[in-house]
Amino acid sequence: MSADAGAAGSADGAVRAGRRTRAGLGKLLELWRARELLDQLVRKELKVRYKSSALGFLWSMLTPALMTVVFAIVFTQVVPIPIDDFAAFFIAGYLLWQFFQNSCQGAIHSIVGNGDLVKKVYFPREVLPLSHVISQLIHLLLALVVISPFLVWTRGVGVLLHLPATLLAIALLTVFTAGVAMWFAATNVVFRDLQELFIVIFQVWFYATPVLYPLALVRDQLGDDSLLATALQLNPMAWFVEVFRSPMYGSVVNAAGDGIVSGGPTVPSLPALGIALLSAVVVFIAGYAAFLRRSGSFAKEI
Amino acid sequence: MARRSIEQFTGLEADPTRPAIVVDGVTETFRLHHERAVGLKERLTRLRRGSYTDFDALSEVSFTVEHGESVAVIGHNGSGKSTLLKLLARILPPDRGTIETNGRVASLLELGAGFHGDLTGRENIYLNGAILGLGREQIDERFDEIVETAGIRPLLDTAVRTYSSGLYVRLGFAIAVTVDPDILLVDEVLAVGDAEFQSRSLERMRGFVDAGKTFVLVSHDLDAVREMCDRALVLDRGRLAFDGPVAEAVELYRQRVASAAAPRTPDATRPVGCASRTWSSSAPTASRSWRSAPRAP
Repeated sequence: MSADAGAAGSADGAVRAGRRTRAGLGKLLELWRARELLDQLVRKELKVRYKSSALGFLWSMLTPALMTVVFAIVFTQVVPIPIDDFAAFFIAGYLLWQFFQNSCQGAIHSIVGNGDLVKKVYFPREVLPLSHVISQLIHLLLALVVISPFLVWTRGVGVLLHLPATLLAIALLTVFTAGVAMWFAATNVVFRDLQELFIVIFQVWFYATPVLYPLALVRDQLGDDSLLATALQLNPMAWFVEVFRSPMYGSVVNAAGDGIVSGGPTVPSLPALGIALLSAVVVFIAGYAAFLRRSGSFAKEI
Repeated sequence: MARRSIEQFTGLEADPTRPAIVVDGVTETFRLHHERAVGLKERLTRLRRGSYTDFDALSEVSFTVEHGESVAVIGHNGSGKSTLLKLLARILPPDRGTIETNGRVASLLELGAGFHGDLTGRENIYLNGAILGLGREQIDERFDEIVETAGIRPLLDTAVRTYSSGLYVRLGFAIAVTVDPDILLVDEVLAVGDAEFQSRSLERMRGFVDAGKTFVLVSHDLDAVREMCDRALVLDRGRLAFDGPVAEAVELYRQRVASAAAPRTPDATRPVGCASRTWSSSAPTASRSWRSAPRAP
């Protein structure tokens, strides 16, 4: 921000470039300075949530636990999916999904719901959606600690040996989720129907992500080049689930003649990792850019 | 020009070679939708007949504030005072023109904005301090001072939703004044709280002005304005109608209030007795601004 807007002639381009560099530098410095605020907002999020409940954090384990029991009964007894330890398979994917969905759900209300603050105080607005992503990340890490004995029991010590790969997968998904969350937060300010559509979008997205079923099963049933298998692979979340599940549960592959075979915990395949990395970076940059472009008018629109 | 540090470069640290605030040709437009289409259904059904009017809350406002100046902004309700303060605080970006602030800016637009009712006073001090840009150590250092200023020691570990509204505001003020910025923007916050709180907060602000910091105050309290500030800007329907010594500005504003109150013909409404040099540039504004006054038949 500079007052020399009227600078004319050949200096104009240089001035503009300089101003853009300065704005970019300022933006990053500002986010860095706001880390204390981000930390406080995450604490607030966690405290407010469990302030008056005796079980506290354990409540957030209730949904995944019940879902796992229900789906395990349905998909092992009623409609069997040919996969070892279905409960372990499901919960590894579901915790990841829950992190993604809850982060976006918190973020979508984060600007609109903090109208008073946004209209009265200046701070980098991106800390509001990011605080939801980070508090959900803390939930995810705690939840993994809670279920790890179960995973080790069913899938072997390989789960612990591949911990670095698990953490890498979580890091990539966090970057991806931050981008999606910022997009939802900013778009909901100008298009409030988004929060109504949210449930529908995430229902469809959930079934389009191989959480309940392995991607290999779709390939096995319909063929590698089938429309559905191709469509599912265009969903970035499918790759995050794949990358995350390899070290937590194991790979599920399509063995020729043998149908679906579940292997033990392993490192994720490089192509899957590459796709996850690429979509995380692209979605983060796109989401952040969309957020910054709109953030100027938040105080007017709310 | 001398080499500047990164913090000066990005405007986060005061650079004494530049003025504290430079506002250049700033216009801020609000779109008033007559029936606002925010949802999908409305968007689809009203696609072709979205009706709105653009309203300039500020138009072509330019001024410069030097370091250490204390400036008041006065004007009628809806004259653009609060919008100007929000622009200076960077809550709104200017639609046209540029604003440069040089140094750390703190704004007291609303006390206790961002308090969370379910958190305790102690927790809210840290949260609110962080919202205002303070680090954890900085809040640790100032914690006792904040608690003393607000007088909330016995209620420190009680949820703030149980606080009285006066206490709430006092805590908000106590946190805000410890920020210690280079430029302080204050909007009418003195109007809340009891007499003791008001005199205490005036004292804090006077101390701030005496310390040679830059101070911008929006207020309807003309006595406070006259006491706290050397210079005043009079805003009239988004235009800068006067910029000069505070005594002249207050006099001018009083006359305008008086003439707006009495029904007159538009021609007779031009205020008399104010310095002609300040009026020559803004005469068109002056005559336009009286349209809201009741006209003689």
